[in-house]
Amino acid sequence: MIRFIDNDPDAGSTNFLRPAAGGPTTAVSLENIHETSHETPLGSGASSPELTVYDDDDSEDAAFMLSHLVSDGYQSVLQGESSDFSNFSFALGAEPAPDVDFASQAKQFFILSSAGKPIFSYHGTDETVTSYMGVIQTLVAFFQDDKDNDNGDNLRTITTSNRTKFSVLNQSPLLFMAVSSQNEPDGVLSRQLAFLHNFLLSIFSRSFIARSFTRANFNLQNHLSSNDVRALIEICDGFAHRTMTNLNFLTSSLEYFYLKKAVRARIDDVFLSLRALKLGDETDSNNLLYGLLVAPHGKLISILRPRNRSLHTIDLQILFRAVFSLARDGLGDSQEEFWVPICLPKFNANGFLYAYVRFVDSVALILLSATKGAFYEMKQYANSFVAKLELPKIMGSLAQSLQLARNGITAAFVHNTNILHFVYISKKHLQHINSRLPDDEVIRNNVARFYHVLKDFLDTQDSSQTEKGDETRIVFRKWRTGERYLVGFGLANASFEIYALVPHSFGNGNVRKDLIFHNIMGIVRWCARNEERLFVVGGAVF
Amino acid sequence: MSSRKKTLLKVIILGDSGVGKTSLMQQFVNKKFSHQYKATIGADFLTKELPIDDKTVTMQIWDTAGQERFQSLGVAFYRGADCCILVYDVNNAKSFESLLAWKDEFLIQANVSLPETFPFIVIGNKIDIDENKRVVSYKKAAQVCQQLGNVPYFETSAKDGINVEEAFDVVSRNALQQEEANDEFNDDYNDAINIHLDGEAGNCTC
Repeated sequence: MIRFIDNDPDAGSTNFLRPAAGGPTTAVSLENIHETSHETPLGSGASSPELTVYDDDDSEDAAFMLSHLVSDGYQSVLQGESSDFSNFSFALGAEPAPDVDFASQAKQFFILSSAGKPIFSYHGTDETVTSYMGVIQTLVAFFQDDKDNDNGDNLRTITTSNRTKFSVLNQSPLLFMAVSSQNEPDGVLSRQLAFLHNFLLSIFSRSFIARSFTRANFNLQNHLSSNDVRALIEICDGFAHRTMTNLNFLTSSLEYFYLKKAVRARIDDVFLSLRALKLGDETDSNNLLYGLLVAPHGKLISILRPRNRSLHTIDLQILFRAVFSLARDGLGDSQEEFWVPICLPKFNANGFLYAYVRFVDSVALILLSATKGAFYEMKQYANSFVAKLELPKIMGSLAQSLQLARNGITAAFVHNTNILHFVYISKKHLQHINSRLPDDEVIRNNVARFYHVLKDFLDTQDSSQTEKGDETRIVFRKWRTGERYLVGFGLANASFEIYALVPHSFGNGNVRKDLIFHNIMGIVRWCARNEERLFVVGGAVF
Repeated sequence: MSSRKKTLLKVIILGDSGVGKTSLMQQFVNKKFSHQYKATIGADFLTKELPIDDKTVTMQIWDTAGQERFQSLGVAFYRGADCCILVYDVNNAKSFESLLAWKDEFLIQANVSLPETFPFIVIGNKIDIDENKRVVSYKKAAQVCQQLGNVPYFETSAKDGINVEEAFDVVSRNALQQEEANDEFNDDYNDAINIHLDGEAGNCTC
């Protein structure tokens, strides 16, 4: 880890990015910046940006995070929220940016080309954003372009003195940047950027992007449809607002759909029967590759797949995201069908699969084929599927299942044990379940954030212990949220992870760790016992 | 695809230190001129929306530092440019002699696919200064631009705002032409995946 604070105003490297002296809350004009640079040389005050350049080894970075967090007994993670971003600005623009909303956002996401042309921005008008793109591109290139050394340092994160974090993902010819004042661990931002990258790949494929950027001035922005932009904004919403939608990313898994084993088996059988139909253009062919039945919010009900070819969780998250952004237009109309080319980057980043999509009572039936012309074939499979399943009837029990499951879990564990909330992740199935969100709004809106911190602790322990990865790791954290205290618990081993939040009245002595642990293990045992109801265990395999 | 197509033009301004690159940009974007000279540190970025015939384009102007110590930033700046403006000071012979070097530097660093068709513009700035001090004649400059490959030539005063609009109008048109050369390829989703279900590992990388 190379870490430096630039003290030389003439060194050039940090001059592109400079917190405005005195902390005005909007972007500062170019002229102002030049003047303030004479009055307050960089490095003379607390406002100096602190650049941290990481090499490929993240371990020291993690160690740094750890020491920083450990030194602080009670993390008040809920303080200092959305206003932080406005306290610094880039040195650019001849007029103060009129886009005040832009500067006051707690979190920003940018996608740009390696030439510095904007592709996507979560906030801000084109006019506001275009100049920033040049600054970002220059910063990244400054650290990267060491022509003689391909392994030159890549800029990963910049943390300013007011704890605003800039995180960069360089996937030339594309650049991704997140700016956050939410103080999350570095790994969170990089995972979010990686997801945005994968989502772009799903729209275009890696080979299309590579081909297009053989001319470096290519403008990818024009090839994003309004639907794509809307989906990107929704993804960023999920990242920025830290609500439950984040848990998929936190856990790298899919959310469960509680269902009786027999019902699941019935659906699997119907899926398998589609593979037995031979309706392809060529005699005796069947171009159905994957079949998925998915409840709203991307909850997987059942999957049909070839043996030895599970779909990667990231691919499924992307597929569901794309499918349910179609639903907005066509929801409720079961006659509407979609035929969508989609690249699943973990499956094959260089090519497209074709997704037949149809909504039945808000549940999505997705049939994937590698054959571009297989729409009518898939349509017939879909008809057969719907007919055989008597879907409306099954749907009734599906909906009931969902409701029952949520209430059941809440009643059985959360209520009786004083646990506010938990999430259980099955590593084997890459799926998770979580209890109903707590009523307390502050806690509800920050659940993912608490878990990110706990997870980061467990992950860090992992990397610092190096040897055996399958030992059980446990973490307890205490937080203060206003007047209240909250205990966070995390436990991870080779087969599962569980995170939970428990209220704690600070005046009442020590945290009863043994009691919390006991209650948590009760949940773990229940999850193990009900595995086949909670998770899609094998799917319909052919 | 997107209903309103956006056009973003990346324009680079190059030239020796002190020839008026920043002033030209400020005059064009903000109609302002400052008598005080401040060396550009690294780069300045300005954005201007402007109409070209019936469409509106966004010009992203990258104003670079003329000073040599910032030249290591070259690759970053030049990559993916749609037009390059070469500026010299008509009262400074050395800045005029540097034009070819700046053009070569750009072509090498930017790694443009067709160097012979890449649009450059040459601007001779500071024509407001006393005629007696002028060392490069219009005739001489126009001749050199011809030799550089028929590069359009403008003489401007960033201070008085003379000819600046006209020069940038040609910049935007030539940049647009360069940008639109991208539209030739087709964007069909034709990258089919060959699936061999009997195979062991296959395409799936998970």
